[in-house]
Amino acid sequence: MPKLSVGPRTIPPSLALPRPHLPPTVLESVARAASEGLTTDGLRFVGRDETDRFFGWDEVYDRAVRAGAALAAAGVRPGDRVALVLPTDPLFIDAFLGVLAAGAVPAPLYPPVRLGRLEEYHARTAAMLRACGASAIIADARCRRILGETVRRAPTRLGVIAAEDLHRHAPAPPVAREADDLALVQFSSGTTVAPKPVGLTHSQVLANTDAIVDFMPLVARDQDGSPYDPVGVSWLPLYHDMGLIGFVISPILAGVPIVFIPTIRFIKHPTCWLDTISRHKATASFAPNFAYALVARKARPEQLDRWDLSRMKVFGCGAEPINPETMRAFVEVMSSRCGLRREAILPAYGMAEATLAISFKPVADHMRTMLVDAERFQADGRVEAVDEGFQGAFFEHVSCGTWFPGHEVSSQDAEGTLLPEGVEGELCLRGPSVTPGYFENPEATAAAFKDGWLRTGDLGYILDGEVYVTGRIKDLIILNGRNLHPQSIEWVAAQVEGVRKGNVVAISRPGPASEELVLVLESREAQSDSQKAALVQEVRTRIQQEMGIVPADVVVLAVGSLPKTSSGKLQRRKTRQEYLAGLVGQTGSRTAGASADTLTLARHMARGVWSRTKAALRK
Amino acid sequence: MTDNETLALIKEALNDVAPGREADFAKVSLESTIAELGLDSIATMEMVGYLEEQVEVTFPDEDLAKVASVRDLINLIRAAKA
Repeated sequence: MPKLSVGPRTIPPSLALPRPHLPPTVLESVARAASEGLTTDGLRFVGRDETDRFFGWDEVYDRAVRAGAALAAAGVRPGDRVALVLPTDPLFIDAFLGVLAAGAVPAPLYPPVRLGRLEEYHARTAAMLRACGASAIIADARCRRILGETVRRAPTRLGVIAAEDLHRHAPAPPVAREADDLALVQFSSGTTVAPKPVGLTHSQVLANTDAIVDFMPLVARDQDGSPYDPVGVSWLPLYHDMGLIGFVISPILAGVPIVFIPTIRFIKHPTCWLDTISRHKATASFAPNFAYALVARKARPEQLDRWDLSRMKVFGCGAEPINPETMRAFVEVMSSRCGLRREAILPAYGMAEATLAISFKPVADHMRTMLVDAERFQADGRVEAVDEGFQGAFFEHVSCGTWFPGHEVSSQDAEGTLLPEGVEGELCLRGPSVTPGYFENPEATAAAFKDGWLRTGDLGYILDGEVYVTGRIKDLIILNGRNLHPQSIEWVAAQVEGVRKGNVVAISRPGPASEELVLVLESREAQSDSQKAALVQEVRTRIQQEMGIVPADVVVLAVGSLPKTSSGKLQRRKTRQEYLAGLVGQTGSRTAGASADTLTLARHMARGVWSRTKAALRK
Repeated sequence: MTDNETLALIKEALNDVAPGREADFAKVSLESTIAELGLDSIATMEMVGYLEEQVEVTFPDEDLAKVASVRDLINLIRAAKA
């Protein structure tokens, strides 16, 4: 039986809430939905040609026990870790629940989709297969064609099992599991070098999903006040905690129907997300910050005329830093054009180590932000609230709401001392949803836990019982004793015209007295030396005016030059390493050719799709 | 569609998702690699989405992973149209 490398973790008795209403395992919650749930409720998958495939809870359960029997017959033993490499598709649900029915532990991995990055895919996937000690991989025919090379690098005992026929096997009673058995191994997103497998037991997964369900409105009201059943829409990848825990396991526990859009379809045609929400009269969806910016940029006027978002109670936002400007721009357009309620925007905080979420903004409240005196905050990490008329530099921090009952979030210093409200420190978590540790990785586990608290590596503070996330510890730039958050600098720089939104990195370099600030950014428009020099000057001036810091260096790169993770997040650490090595702009996804300097471009092309869309929206 | 017609369509897609880089994209040839296009992962998929809309097909996901060059992309479009 696999063992988690259990950290020095104890949940205080006060945090252990009795939850007699919860089934002991994830599979039993499916069985409950199948026996009690409405037969009209279940999981719906939007196909390529707009035809939907629907699976009621009873069918979901039936396919799960058949898949479990098929896997047992294929040699999967209780306790085995089984990797899943599948797109957002019904076969994922068969495989995931089938592994649980076989008494084994699913480990969802991402399927290959990126153009021209196969080598990177094989290396990373092989590392994840080794990290969770997978006995088998379940994949569909499409993924199987690519996985051959991956499996040669990290062989599994049972090789690759086809997902297509699992649900056709004769059913057998599922293998009994206990609440404290391992239910899932999930990889935290954004980890690039050595992916760390987070082990979670059934009781942890169910504690988190139960808390999420408690927060979500189970009845919405129509404009005329009549009650309305909840419907979720998700394009999120199922190998990621927000897609899997938030939109598969939580809905099963709550008996809420979900409509799935293939992830790749969203990325290719982002507006299909709001199309589907409108068409299915959905009440809840979640996505990272970037998706809100993307869909607002892509929305065409005729779509805005057509979409009805008035039933949406929750547009959750998490998994990456939340930019209040992005969320305001989204809600501004969607409330005036599509009937969206402003309070639907729901910032959330969480991580794979806490199953998924630890805090939500209360559903009925508006998104709340704190304006904080930047000088003061950078000097000693203390929050001093200011209002919009404040003359000096300020930060705007988004409240991620209150933590779930039975859980706790605190801000701590490096020694593990709890800091008072309004003082920035490392955010630490504990509670029944938090992992006991990384799978068979005692070193990583010991490094992540202190005195029973999971140290998240995130910076933030608690104020009036709400969680504010301010950055990542490893990215912090310390200039003359001031703690600067790269995001806050990047967002200021991104306001300069010509700087590509979301493609600015603030890093530090060693200076004679203190560290110095360096900005590395991408620009589509600035191509000639003189254009670049002008942009550098503008960025310098803006940062100086708004933040009172003079950047020691500003580097302008061509589009696609900044290093990014597989999920498209900026890699500050890698950018810094490249910068210090004098290699910045020479790797990434593009080589900045010398020819770029000789090109000149008409200035009127400079504004890009975003401005065009905004102009269209104003009409 | 001939290779040249398809290449022109790919350039149109590139200019749609990354406006302001016409001069860059004018140099794109059959031999260019996807990495050389200088798009991030989201913009790359946006470009694929544009092509799907214009050609009125949906490319199989697993085939996308194997696309490393503009020539691969052209072959993919041809196969999808067939």
